[in-house]
Amino acid sequence: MNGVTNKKSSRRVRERNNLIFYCLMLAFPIAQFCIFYIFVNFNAILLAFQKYNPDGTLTFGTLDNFRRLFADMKGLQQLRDGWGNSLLVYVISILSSPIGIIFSYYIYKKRFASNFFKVVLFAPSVISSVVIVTMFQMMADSFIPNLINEWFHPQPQMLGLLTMEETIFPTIIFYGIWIGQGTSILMYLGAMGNINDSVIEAAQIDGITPMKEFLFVVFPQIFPTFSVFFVSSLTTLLTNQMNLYTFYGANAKPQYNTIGYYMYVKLIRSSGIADYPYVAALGLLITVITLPVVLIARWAMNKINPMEAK
Amino acid sequence: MTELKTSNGLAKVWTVIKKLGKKLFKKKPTVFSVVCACFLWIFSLSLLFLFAYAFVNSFKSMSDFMWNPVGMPEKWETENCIHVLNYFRYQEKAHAPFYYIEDMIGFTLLYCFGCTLANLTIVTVTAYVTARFDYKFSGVVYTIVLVTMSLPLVGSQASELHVVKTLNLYNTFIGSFVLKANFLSLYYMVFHATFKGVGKSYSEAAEIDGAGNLRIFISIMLPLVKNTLMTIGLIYFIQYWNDYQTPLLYLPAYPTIALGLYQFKGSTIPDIASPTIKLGASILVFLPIFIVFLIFQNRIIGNVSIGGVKE
Repeated sequence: MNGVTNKKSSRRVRERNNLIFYCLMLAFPIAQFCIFYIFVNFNAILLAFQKYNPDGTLTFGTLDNFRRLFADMKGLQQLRDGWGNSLLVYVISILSSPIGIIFSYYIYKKRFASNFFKVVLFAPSVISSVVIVTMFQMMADSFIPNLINEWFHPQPQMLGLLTMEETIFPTIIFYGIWIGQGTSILMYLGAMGNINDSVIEAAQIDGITPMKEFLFVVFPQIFPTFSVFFVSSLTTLLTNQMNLYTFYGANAKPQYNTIGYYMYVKLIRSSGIADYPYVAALGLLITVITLPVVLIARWAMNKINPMEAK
Repeated sequence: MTELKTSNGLAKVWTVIKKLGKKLFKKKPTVFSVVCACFLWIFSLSLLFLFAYAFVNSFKSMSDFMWNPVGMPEKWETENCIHVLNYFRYQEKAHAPFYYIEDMIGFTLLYCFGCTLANLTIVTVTAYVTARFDYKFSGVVYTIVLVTMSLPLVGSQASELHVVKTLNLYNTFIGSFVLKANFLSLYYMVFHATFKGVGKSYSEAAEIDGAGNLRIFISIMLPLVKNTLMTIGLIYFIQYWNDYQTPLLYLPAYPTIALGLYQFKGSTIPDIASPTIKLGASILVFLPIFIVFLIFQNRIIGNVSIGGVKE
């Protein structure tokens, strides 16, 4: 009888200790989450409806930020062109994703030099964007035009790719695709690594060609990863800066701005908290636009997932 | 006679080439693989060329770079390195103190180690307790991570900065660590799955031996997941080393080396504005992290996938 009581009480002590340990361990993470996620997002909504006063205070209950924002959308070139540029960057990143998938397939099949490609293509992902942009800028503005001028003698002489009006935007987009492939290759490679070998072997016994194997066996298996990439790019559709800040600081030409870049520059240039309500209003507008689009896209991708359909 | 010798020689060379080819191309090349390989070579060589171009040109004098931007340096100038070390500095705003490379390295190490430790600790601890203890709240935490990962709440940076300033965390290292100490990431899922997979037998055996919860966590559980811990820690460290926009926004008075390079890159001061010196500075920032990457490349590349980190 005594033994049973002792067992029960020691279990109770252990459960109490477990609960104390659990609460202590979770106290900080939950407090951090409450302040820097829940409160920050709630404050973002409040801030969007607040007005900055000359004495440094904020007053609640105004639509001034949205009025200013919609007026700027008509008048400011940064915002007028920003929506189109952001969308264009997204479309191009989706259109270029087959490159990453095909390259991943080559590496996955352990063809010649695949390990070398894996390391080289991943390297830009571990190097700071400032470093690569500095190198790329020198190459695009000095090496390439000088090489073309020396070889082809064009008249008038070619200037830097990041200096000439007509080549700035394509060059920046090219840079994004070129440098961004490493991460996507690694992502798809991880997904391909999870494909069951027996599926591939069965297809090979049936005499499938590499192209058919890629299209009808491998791609459907990695579709969930493609879907994640598609949806997550959509999430950052309007916050993508397209590396503009790294290239030009706060001085990129208005016609090349994206919404994400415009927002970041506003925040950096804000004197004190003066522009925060305006930026918060823009952030809220972005969330309102992005949220349904992302949810619909996720639903659609789940619907067309070939693995689910089977 | 000579012709016969030549043809024998050619046949031998051809056999060697065939053997070498068989060794190199373990699988029979197809049109698809050849086209892919061609593109991959172009892609990879262009990337390597970029680094080589930066490296070579960082050793050119300014006049050599102006008159000979395409070729190799006429004379390998090591003076550029000294110039970089002397002029690589950062100033937050006019009249603010200058910070030199040794300060920036110090700030970078503090920022990277601090943020990595804060982030990794919170993710690991949260994942461990929610995986080990079957309270209802554990499920709530798991759902929170899932929901926040799929809800595109973007554009709250202004609000975050406002909150950070209100809490007096702006421009402080503690503020940056607190900001990074969150569990809302894919790595929470990775650790959660790993701790679930470990099983309770280890902790139960330790409990019988009288070990407390903290002891079980530190002495038994953490060593069991040390591979995952190391890989994710490395990924975090590299990410913080390279990030210049977060320090620019939240910690501008304590520049990291990436932030220093960002300001250096845009500088128009005559002593610094030379492209060769800017390339030299890039190499200086690039080398340490690239060496870390080369040492740990198998751990980083081999273990990362969209689904998480493989053990």
